[in-house]
Amino acid sequence: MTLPASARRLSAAVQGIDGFLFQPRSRTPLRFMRIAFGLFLVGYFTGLHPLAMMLYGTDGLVSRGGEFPLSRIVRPQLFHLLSDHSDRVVWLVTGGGIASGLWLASGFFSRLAPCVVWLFVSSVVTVIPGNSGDLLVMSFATYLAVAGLAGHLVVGGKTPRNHLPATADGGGPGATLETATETPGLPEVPAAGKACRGLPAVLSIAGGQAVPAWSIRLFQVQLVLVYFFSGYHKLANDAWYRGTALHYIAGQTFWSRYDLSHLDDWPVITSALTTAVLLFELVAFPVLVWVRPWRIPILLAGVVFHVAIYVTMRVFTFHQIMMLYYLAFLLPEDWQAIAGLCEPLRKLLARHR
Amino acid sequence: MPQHDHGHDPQAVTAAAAPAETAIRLPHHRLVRVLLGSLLLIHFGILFLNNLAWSPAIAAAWPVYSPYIVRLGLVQDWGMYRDPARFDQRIIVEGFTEAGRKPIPREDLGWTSSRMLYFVEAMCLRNNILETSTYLNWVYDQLPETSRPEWGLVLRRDVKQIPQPTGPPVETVWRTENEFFAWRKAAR
Repeated sequence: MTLPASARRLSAAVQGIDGFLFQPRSRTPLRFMRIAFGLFLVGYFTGLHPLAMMLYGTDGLVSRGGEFPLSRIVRPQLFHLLSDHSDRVVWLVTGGGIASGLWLASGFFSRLAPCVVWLFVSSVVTVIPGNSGDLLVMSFATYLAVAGLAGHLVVGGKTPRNHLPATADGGGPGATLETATETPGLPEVPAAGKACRGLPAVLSIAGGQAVPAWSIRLFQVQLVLVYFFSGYHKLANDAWYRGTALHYIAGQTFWSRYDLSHLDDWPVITSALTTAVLLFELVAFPVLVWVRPWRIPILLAGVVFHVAIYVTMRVFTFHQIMMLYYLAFLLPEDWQAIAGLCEPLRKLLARHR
Repeated sequence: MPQHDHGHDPQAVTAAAAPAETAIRLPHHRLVRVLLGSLLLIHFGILFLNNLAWSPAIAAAWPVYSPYIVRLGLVQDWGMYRDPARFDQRIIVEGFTEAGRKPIPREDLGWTSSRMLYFVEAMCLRNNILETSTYLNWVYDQLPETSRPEWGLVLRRDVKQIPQPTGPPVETVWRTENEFFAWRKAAR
């Protein structure tokens, strides 16, 4: 008996969602994200220390002015749990944040480390004045904690049991990533194909096993939502709708690293750039990043986009953390391709050794 | 659940390809998978709702989903440069002395990071006199004793209109938008 068309469509949709969330995927991106985020936190907490001391130090603003209006959140945070007017607590939070970042990067106790990181990040995000980038740091820490608790950050050969979805035949699709690359049926990525050859195994697959896709999907969907809704909210504003937004942004010398006000003499350029930003955020990235041939070009366009803003504007944290989210879209072959690009440098260094 | 075709994704791992010695035991109950999948979809749905512009419908749903995102730190607000200011600004701290006002360099104020500038700008925009006075007194105490102005400090925010891109070229001037004073005891 054949199913009616509507039932078949529903079944296909459920199957699609199931594949999207539970398809076994390499854990390599998660590994790199864990290491990169851990190292990022070292700089992040170091940068926060002066402000934390100014606000919550023994002689800080909170102790001088009572409850400073920026310090109320409902998440657990150490300044409220311990003290919001003590140099020692500030050192504990920033020093602990740095140490937890290094711990996370090291990979030891990979279930516990991201939870400790979450506590330290939660203790500073929005408690210390920040921007959207800090919210992304908080989200990153939360997703990493969830992935860690699920055992997806476990280092080395120990893949936690029961973490890959069962299949129709009752068998397990678990396999090492080495298996993935050796699978004859899998298409080869042209950019990576030549570059990976001859690379040590640690670079190519890095001792990872497959994990269900959902943990990496958390980061990917979050990133897509960031772009889409940034564009969506911008479109509600007249300056973006009429293509004048970048004209005004370029005129804000207070937030520019260099004087960009001369761009105001070129309204055609600022208008075209305004529209380009809108299209990139609303359509290009959220759609094309899922399309295989477009994935790398759109990620590279995003890198150029963020680097250009970082170089010209005084925006903190946002661009760095966005780059970390990008790692969720990289496949093991991409890492191998990157390593392949570094190969001439490695040879050069080896020759001079 | 039917097995998926992973052939389109080189990162995907096929069951058939897994050698017996590397295979992982997977007695995942289908119910667990359905439950986890549903939770993830609810999570994505909540993020979507939280990203939408505030409306009566969102206001009605907010009490239901807000505890989840607020307590986990997943509140979304991607409004950077959503409404670009139509003016340029400069924020200056000056020392009051008998000789008059003298600007204090940013480095001496600890304004070396963008985050600190963001903090100072937000403080000016909140326009809370008590808060700003507390801050200026703190700044004063951080200055080396030899360079402390005897009468106190003033924090000033000036703004200047950015001409419209399509309008005629106009000369714009700086005007003071906010000014906050912190007098020292000696001057009172």
